[in-house]
Amino acid sequence: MSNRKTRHGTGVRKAFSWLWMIIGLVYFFLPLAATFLFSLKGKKGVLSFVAYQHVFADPKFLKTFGFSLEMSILTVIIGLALIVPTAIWIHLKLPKAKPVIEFFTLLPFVIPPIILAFGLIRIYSRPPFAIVSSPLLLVAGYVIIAFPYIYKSVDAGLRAMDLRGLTEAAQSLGAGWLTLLFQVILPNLRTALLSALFLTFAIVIGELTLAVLLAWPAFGPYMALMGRNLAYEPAALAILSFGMTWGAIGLIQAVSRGRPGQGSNLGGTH
Amino acid sequence: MAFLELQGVVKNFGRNTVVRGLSLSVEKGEFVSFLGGSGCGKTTTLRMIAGFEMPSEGSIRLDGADLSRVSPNRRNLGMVFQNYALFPNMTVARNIAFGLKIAGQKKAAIATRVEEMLELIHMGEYAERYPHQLSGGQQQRVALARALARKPQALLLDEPLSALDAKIRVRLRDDIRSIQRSLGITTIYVTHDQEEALSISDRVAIMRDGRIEQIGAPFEIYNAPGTPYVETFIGTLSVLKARVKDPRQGILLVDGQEVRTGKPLEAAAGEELRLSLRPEALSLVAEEGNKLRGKVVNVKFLGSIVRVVAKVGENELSMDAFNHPRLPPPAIGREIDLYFAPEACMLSKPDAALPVAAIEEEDEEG
Amino acid sequence: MTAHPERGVPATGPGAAPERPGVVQTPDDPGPRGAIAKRAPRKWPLAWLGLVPFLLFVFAFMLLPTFSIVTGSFEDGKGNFTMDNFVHLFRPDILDSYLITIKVSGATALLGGLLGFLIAYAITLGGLPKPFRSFMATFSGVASNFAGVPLAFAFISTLGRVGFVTVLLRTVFGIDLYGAGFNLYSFWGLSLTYTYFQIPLMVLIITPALDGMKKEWREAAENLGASPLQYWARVGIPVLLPSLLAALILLFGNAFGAYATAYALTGGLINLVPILIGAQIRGNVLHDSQLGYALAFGMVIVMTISILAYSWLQRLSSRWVK
Repeated sequence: MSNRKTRHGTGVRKAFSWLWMIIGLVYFFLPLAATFLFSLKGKKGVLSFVAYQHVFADPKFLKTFGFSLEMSILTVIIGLALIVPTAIWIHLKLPKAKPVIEFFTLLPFVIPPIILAFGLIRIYSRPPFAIVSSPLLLVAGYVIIAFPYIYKSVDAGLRAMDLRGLTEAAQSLGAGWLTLLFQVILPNLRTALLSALFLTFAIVIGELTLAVLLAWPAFGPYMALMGRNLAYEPAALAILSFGMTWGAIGLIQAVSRGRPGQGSNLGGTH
Repeated sequence: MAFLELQGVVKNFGRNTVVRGLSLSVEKGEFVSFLGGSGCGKTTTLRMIAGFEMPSEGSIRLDGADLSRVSPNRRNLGMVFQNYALFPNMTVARNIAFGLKIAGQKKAAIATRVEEMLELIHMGEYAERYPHQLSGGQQQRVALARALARKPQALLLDEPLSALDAKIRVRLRDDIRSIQRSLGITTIYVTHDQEEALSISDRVAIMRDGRIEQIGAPFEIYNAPGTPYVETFIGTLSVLKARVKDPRQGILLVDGQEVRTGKPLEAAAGEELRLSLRPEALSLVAEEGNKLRGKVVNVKFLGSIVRVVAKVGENELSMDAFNHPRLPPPAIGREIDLYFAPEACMLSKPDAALPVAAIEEEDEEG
Repeated sequence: MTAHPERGVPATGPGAAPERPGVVQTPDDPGPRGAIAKRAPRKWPLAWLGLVPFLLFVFAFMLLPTFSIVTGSFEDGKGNFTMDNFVHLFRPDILDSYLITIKVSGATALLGGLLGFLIAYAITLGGLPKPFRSFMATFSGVASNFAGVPLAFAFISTLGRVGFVTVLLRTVFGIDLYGAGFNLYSFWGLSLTYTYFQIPLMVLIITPALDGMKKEWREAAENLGASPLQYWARVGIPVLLPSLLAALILLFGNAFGAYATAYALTGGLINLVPILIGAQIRGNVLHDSQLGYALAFGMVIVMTISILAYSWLQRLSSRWVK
């Protein structure tokens, strides 16, 4: 029989929502579409992927991309090595320290990369810690930048797995702490660890501020350099970069399907 | 024409029919409960009265006026929600005053009315508190005051006590009833808790699968259940397998023992019937009437009530007796005689869907 | 079972890796070094040891650098104490720089905040089909990370002098954007670009707050006679206000500290504070190196105020929307 609309006013609300949704989608996709089309104009008069070919053929592209990839992997390793044990530690033994640690993981939001770069250079360009020319300093900076995201990921994963409960259960069954860590905790953290991995990759791969100020041949500065001289290749790079970021975030969503609290990935490399 | 009249109300959600042709007449000042398990349509019906859902078919009339054209913010019905829904950014006083402010009343009049309502719920000193500073029970009282402030034509309550502790629930439901009585306001109360519905309502409508199975005063519903569903839904019931021995004289055989029902039976000799007995209808004290011999399999101490469960052949029989400090209940394994009057027999044809063992009150029927 | 943390920390001898969570032990389990755990009379100090690596790292690479900026702004070129740098902050060109940075941050915070709020409303309370929400959540995650060089390129390709849309408007609609005064490499062009990552950030931040809006509030308000507008004015917006303000502040801080996008887009044409600082680090433009520290310090102040206001507002809103 008739299925009248469920409430008064629902129609107006929906129309309103559709309106802003469409405006939003246009605003987001227009630049992307335009960039993509622009990137196809490498050859005069015809749409082609010439610009992309140039990019891939450029040895500096592979070199800088590889460098940034390396940096992101190092960042993930060091970041996780620092945060996972710390997070487990405070969950199990020192809940009181949680607010303190969380505060420190939020600080990077307050300290923009530009300030961080400035400070790092100031401290570490003089002996005895003159490591300003070591890539490790870059990685250290990246780890700091990625802290909030890695911590949130790991924390959400620990909370979702009821760390204390599993630990006590494992111990009551006789597990030592090594077994506990590698056979109970880490396997259950897989989603969180993968999310942290992809997120860090997304952040580091296009990062500019630290890379250019510390003078490293990273992917970000490479892109900026391309932008100075060429017209269509930068657009191709932008599309590639967007695709990579989308891929990374998409992978995060894919691995965290169904797991609570793995959602919002804030922020950006700006 | 009753004060609140529902006629043939149907509600479909897509292909799901949640309310099927529900008709109900509520008199002015009456307290009617909708009682049923989840999915029976009781909340949906309430929300249709409130205006948050539109009926797919049928009509709802309040004091003669058809409500289907009236938007929910103009129906002048007071609604109390399960999770209180107090506005968190407003104090208790401002929450209560909300409806009056919207109606454009004068400040002085509003202030007086708010004070009145605070008195009614005995929360005079809490006027300037915020909802997050109140307990669940207090919040619900404020929600009630807020709904009543505008002197609505009727009061609608959607499982208002479900989120509260047991002790508070009992106290608050009595408060709700006494407030309702003193104001004489027509009230519809939705709940899944039988005790709640039976203890405070003028009439209880047992709902199942989108329909009203039976509606009547609590006493009636309990003692004269009209359908097998109501029989097993309300209270505890022992259901026994009986065979007709003498239909004219109304004699049955349960496990070979004779049971007199006191009235002729519409069944043939040898036919199988269901005999249902309320636990309080049985007694260990010898009296005129029927007697069944069985063996005690369980004794449950429920506080003021002692429930003895005995097996009569393959049937289970529950008997309730008041706790008496000097009379300990019978031991498990003992043979006992259970006595009951012929009028206590409730008979029905065997229903394959219903279990034969005794149904406990605590089971939630879907 | 919860008594375990009191039974003592495992034997973390001088060589033991302190970041390993030695976790809880029963007296029968001797722990990694084979020695029975010493019952620490006060568990506190030893337990905090486990945090040392993390804290050390944070200190070395975040706190120390930031602190050194602060101290640097109080020093002159030779290391002596001076307040001169702060005086120089009030130079007209420096003040202009702060002013324009504040303007850009404010404008994009408001624009991004408004649009982001409306989109977030659409996907939460707005009654749109469910797939939109997960799509928007993913896309917001991507778009807010898309800032920096690629974003600048995208906007140049779209609205630059020979950008796709610019050319399209000219050839198909006869509208000459640049002739009419629009310039991507200006205040509004930059703001438009920044808004691209401000909007998704707003969506991500405000969605939880919108989820926390109980639909019963709206129904209760309706039941008491309120129209949708009255509900929003008296209940909806007031309840959301702390979260909204907190989000706006976060957006402001986000834009204020942004470097890469501005660098890639304008190459230093617009003198935002981050650009000035960046130029300072590379040793050009400013003759006064210490001034760079003062600039940075000013930025730290701005960010600190933002984060304090943000967390205060967050605490306020979580109190109501329990």
